[in-house]
Amino acid sequence: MAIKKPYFSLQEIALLSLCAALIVVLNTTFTLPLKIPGHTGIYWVVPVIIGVGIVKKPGAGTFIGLISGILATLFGLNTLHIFNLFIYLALGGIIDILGFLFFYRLDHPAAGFIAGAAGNLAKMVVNFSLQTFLGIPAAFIVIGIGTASITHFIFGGVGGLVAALVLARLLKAGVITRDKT
Amino acid sequence: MDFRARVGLACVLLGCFLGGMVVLDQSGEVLFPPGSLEITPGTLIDQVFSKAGFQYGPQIWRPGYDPLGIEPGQGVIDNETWYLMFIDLNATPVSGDPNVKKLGSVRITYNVSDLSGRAAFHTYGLTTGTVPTRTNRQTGYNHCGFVVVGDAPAGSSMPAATSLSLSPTHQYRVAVSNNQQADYAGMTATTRTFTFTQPGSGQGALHITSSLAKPRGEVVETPELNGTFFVTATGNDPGNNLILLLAVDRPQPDGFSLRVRTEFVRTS
Repeated sequence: MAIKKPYFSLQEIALLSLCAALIVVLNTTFTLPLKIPGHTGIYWVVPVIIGVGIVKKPGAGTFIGLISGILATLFGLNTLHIFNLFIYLALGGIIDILGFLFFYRLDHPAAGFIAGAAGNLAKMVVNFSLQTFLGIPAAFIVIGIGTASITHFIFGGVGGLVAALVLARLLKAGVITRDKT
Repeated sequence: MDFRARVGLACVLLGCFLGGMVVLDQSGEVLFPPGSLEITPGTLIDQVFSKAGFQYGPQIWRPGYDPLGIEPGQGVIDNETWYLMFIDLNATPVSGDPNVKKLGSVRITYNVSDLSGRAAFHTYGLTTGTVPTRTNRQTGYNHCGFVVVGDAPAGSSMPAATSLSLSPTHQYRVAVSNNQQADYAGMTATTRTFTFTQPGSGQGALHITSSLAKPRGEVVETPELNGTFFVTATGNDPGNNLILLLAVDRPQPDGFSLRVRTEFVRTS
């Protein structure tokens, strides 16, 4: 009887889980005193893009988002508690989609920048949507949303660029390969 | 579609998204007018202050990381002299479960008598931990403030006032002029501490406005000695208690008095 091969191998699950844990660790240890909306995206998106760029399978980003969301909820990283899950899932999901659309060439600086920026923006949109859902009037939410979008875009993009450079170095060093063999 | 085309398409889509957000930001007040306002029953403070409440001055600045001007929209102006009074409003624009914040606003009703010259209102939001003290933006984008102009003759002096010293640590401990009544919870302390952590810190989270249709705040100058204005909040942490700063630009007559009432307004 043939044994059904799991979608993610054990090594892939371990890698993706480590990336998810790294997001939570970075969030708790790095407290940059920038006070600019979305500045945490500069390191938040890096493990997700690296995880997706290495595993190269649809669902890898969502898996990272799910695990990091559960961890963030358990550790109480921000005031949204269980709703954190949606924020992290959105971040992972959008990077998943972009990784798929870019043929998993997330080591390319442009692709990395776009994936990071889009991930950070998705996080922002879900965050604002949740706050509206929880009763904060939309009139208050949209104040400064233009500036917040631009800063999320820039910081997420820079984080994506860093991830792309790391992936490119791993490729060059032969630690990972561009195509599966 | 090849890789380059997909990257280009993604750039275009992101650009459209950012553009849409900027448009939403600019037209948000029109698209999302404030809903029904519900004043929460109960007055948070209702106190009368006299000339003796001006404990600071004459000086040309108000507390910030760097000294802030007092005239709304202006920096520190050398040839002005202001006398300052700090009032604990026993209010915050946030209500409900502190972990699921529900933003509202604080309505301030004032009645001034025997006011000489200009009286500028500013607000500070006390915070905890490393979060800088909040205040309304003094200059630049979305600066705001509320000024009442009176025509009473000026007084001769302000005997209770002494100048506040500039703090090299950017931390200011100021005396509040409230009557220290035990029936207001947490109002027995006589001083409050403002902490500013970096240049520009804390500005922009609180806004002063005469109408909740302009929640970003506005500069209002009025001769009305009896009126209301609102303190609104945006941002992640508007602070857990508001301090009102009243600054007057000349010594006040002995008959000066200010009555302040605060109420929480929920916006739905």
